[in-house]
Amino acid sequence: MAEQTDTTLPIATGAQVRSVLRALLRRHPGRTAAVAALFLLASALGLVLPACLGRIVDAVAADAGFPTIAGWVGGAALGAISAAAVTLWGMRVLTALVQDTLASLREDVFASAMRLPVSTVDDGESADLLSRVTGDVDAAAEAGGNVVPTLLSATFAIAVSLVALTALDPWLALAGIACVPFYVLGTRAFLRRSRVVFREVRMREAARSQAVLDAVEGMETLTALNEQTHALELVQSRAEDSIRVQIEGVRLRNRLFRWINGGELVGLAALLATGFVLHASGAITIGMVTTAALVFHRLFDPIGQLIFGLDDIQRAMIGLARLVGVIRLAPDTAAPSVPPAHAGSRTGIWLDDVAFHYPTTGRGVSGVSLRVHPGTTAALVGTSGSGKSTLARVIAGHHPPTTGRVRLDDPEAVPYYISQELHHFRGTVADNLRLVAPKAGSDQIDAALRAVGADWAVSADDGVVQELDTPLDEGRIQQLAVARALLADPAVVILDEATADVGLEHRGVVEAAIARLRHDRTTVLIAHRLEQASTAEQIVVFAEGRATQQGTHKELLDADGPYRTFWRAQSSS
Amino acid sequence: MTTNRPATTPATPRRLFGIALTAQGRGRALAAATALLMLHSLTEAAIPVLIGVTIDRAVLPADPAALALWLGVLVGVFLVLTISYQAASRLMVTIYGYGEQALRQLALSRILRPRLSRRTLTAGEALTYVTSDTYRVAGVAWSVAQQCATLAAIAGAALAMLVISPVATVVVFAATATMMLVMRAVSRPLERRGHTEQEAATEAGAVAADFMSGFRVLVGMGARGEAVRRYLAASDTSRVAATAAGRSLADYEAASATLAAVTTTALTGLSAWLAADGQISIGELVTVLGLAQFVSGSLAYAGSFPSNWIHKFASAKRLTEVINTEDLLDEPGEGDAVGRPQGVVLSFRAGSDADGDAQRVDVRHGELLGVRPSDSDAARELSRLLGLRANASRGTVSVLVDGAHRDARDLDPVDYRRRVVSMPHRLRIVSGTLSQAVRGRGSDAPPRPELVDIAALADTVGQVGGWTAQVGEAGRRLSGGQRQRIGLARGLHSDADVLVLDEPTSAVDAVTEAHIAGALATRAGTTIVITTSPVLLAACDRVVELQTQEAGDERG
Repeated sequence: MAEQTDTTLPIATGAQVRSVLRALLRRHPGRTAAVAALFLLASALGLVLPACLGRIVDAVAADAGFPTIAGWVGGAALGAISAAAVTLWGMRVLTALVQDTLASLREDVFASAMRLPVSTVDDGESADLLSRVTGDVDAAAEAGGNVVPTLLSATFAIAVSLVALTALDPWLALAGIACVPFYVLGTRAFLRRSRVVFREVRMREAARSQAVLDAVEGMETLTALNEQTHALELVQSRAEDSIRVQIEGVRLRNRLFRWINGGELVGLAALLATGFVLHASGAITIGMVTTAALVFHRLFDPIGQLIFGLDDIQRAMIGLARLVGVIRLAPDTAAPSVPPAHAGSRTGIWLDDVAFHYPTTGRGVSGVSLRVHPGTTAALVGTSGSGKSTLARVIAGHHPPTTGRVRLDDPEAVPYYISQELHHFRGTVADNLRLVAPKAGSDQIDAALRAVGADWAVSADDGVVQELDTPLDEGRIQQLAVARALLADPAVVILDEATADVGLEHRGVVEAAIARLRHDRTTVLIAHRLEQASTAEQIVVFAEGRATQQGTHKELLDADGPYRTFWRAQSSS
Repeated sequence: MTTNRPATTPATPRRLFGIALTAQGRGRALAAATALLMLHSLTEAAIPVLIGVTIDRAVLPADPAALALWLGVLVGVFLVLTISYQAASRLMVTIYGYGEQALRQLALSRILRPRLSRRTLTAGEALTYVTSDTYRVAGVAWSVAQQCATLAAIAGAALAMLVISPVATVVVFAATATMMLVMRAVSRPLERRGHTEQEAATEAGAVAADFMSGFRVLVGMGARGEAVRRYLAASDTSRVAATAAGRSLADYEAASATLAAVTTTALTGLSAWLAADGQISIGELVTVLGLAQFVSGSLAYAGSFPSNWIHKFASAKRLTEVINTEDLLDEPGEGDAVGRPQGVVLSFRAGSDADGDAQRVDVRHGELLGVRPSDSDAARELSRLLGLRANASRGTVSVLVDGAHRDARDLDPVDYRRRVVSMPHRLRIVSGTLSQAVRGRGSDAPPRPELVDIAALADTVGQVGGWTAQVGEAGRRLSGGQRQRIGLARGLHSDADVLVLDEPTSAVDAVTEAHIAGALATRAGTTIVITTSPVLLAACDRVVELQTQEAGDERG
């Protein structure tokens, strides 16, 4: 569970969380009602046992004879067994309800996260978002799976018992309530500190796990540098820190136990004393005193569960607030679907006096006008920070231009954008490729892979390799990215330094694959190596957010300008 | 340090349990905690007895003095109950915490042993051993204490019933045994479904994490809709598994509640019959009824004991396997010095020529030697061999030690790796400050400016926010190129006789690469670069082609 505070992503209020939960439960009105009814029935049946025990005492005291006593014993058995049966039924319905609700919630959260505009998800936010769709979802599942059933049955048991005590004699119920101030005071003191202490506990545990993870994942590095001892010492010291705060947590729990045990004692003593007075005055029988004492004694466990459950609920609500925050942030549009393949259609790009500036840094591009003819490549070159990547993102539609217009000849077309950011998704190579073409047959995948020279991913006999046992290196991941683009067959492709992170050993293969992708396709190409740019139909040179030079490779070499300077610098090195 | 010592006595589940329970003075603390928890359970059992006694001696005869007396006893029992539990839980957290740490340290030190293990573990597997398995085995302390306490409560209640009827005692013990047998059988589907649930939930979480980390890549290719569709499928699998597991748990609890109800009824019927027959008093009847109700809770818990031990034992067995696996590298031998030409600091055999023989490469003092591998697998393999992270047979690698060449097999691996540092291609950067990433955790000294310059790191220091800036988990806040240059700087700071670098510039741009190549060429130390980069190779004093039989191409 991440508890970052340095995030700009919103956290929902308690009211918003409750309204989302209510809306989720409203999808299953019948089952919600059934759960409430079954739990109520189960709690009521749970009281049959102590009630029958009281009757047995009375029957024995009154010498009522074996048949009567046997009847009450049978009643006790029936009560206990039917309570177990109804509880089972209620739990089965509740489990399905909770799991369906949790699934809807996490699916809503994930779909909402996926709908967020790219500009919202920057470095800080993406870590926060990741911890929300994983850590907070897990915490909600944990609370839903374990805490909700316990709390629900504890609450019903307590309520029904109070009703039963009142039915015996209102004074008995009043005596039982004497324990309440203890529970309230103890719980308030506990919850005040528990958030701080248990957050510290989790942080220390996470730090220790991090040290273990560093040691385990860094095995080879630690061995190479003889640093195993340092790693072990770090784990040791972090584990000791963690144990120290856990002791603090136990102290806190112990303080709460004092209050709980105090409440149990006061309640039980008050009940017995009240029973004493009522019995002496002839208001109730000895069996009723027995029943009352036994009913109250049965509540010790549910009350403890309820109080400790409050801490879990408090934590779960923090997680839920973060989840609902994501749902509320997302725009109310459907998740973008797979754009249609261009299937031979051709579209050009128009840029008309486009400007865009990042709100935080103020950097960006201004006054860019550009026409990329269908099926041709425009290369953007310039030093880093000159604005060429920013323009690429504007064309890709990740940032709306501040002024001016970006227009595609075919308004239906969606530019396909490949950056230097590499990510190999989980699953097989085919799974990775089918992200853009879910229905692609293995022959199409095979063809795309071979087209980019990724023959290593294709098995000789039956097409595509299903599992690769070693993690792929950067070059191969990028090869797959290009193969995926070929499979998607978009009308417009934007390549933003797509070979920057690719090792030298793979650069040739990937560049060949890119050449294949660019062929007869409208392309915007950003390259830090000019040989790649030189093959483009037009080249735009950027400096400080503006296009300073524009033309073919030959034209620009002939002109006295920055391009010629770049070219000569790179050729000489 | 324990890591350097071979495991003289093999670990057994028994020894691991011993570490968790008795090592470092835990035995006495655990005995005290167990005694306290047993006392706590007995006081819990005493409460229904006291209810019965109070009703019998005070309420029934309407005796206020007796009421005062028995309520006073109740207060005393509650005091013992609360103090014993608090003291026990305070002791248990220490026993468990340090027990777990001792086991984790043992497992981790064996996984990280310098002589390496014959069994190669993936990071995920290793993590399971040093976290889940040690957690379960250390939990044996809780099992012992709590199970003793529960059994004490059952035995105490059964003995209290002995006063009333020996038959009642027999019923309690018989019920306990039945509960353990039946619940073990009932718990099997529960465990299986619990496992499936866990896997499905982990998978759904992993799918979400994967798509979130690749968010911008997904946006770029317009595949967010497909990602959502795939997540929904994973989430639904998880929902089905969690529902099945939750229902199994409900079945398990219902079975346990029914068994407990049957026991309670048997005890109730028996004592009611005795009371009606005049053999026991009303108060004794109330006591038995209270105890019967109390015992049913303990019985349900006792039912879980067998599976609890089966899991602990399975984890302990897995841990012993990791701990006992033999070393990959043998103990240092006593071989004679090897003859090598003057000025050679390291000599190794690698690759294979047309006849399948490995070629010998002599590395001279102070040179920058380039090795061009046939492919990346060959590069990784050579890096591992030169770092003694793989089994090098005698005659493969020798290094200059105090004026004489010694075979790597005759040196302690730690000693060898102090002389020859071979940086892995994929370096794991420590999570911490930039300075720690460059110097390692072992050193507090600041990074040396001349080495920082060789690695072209100066601009990174500014971009990241200074030497004390955090680099994130495993350097996640850094780009691939920055991480690679930090790895290079880390190697340069190691003060090794020979530094081996494996494709050290594959993720940096051409200008930076040229800078690094030039700086390495002027550096005084002995360096081997395994690389296909023409820029780096051009800067080398000498270049060796690493031939492999199947890929013996004629490049260069």
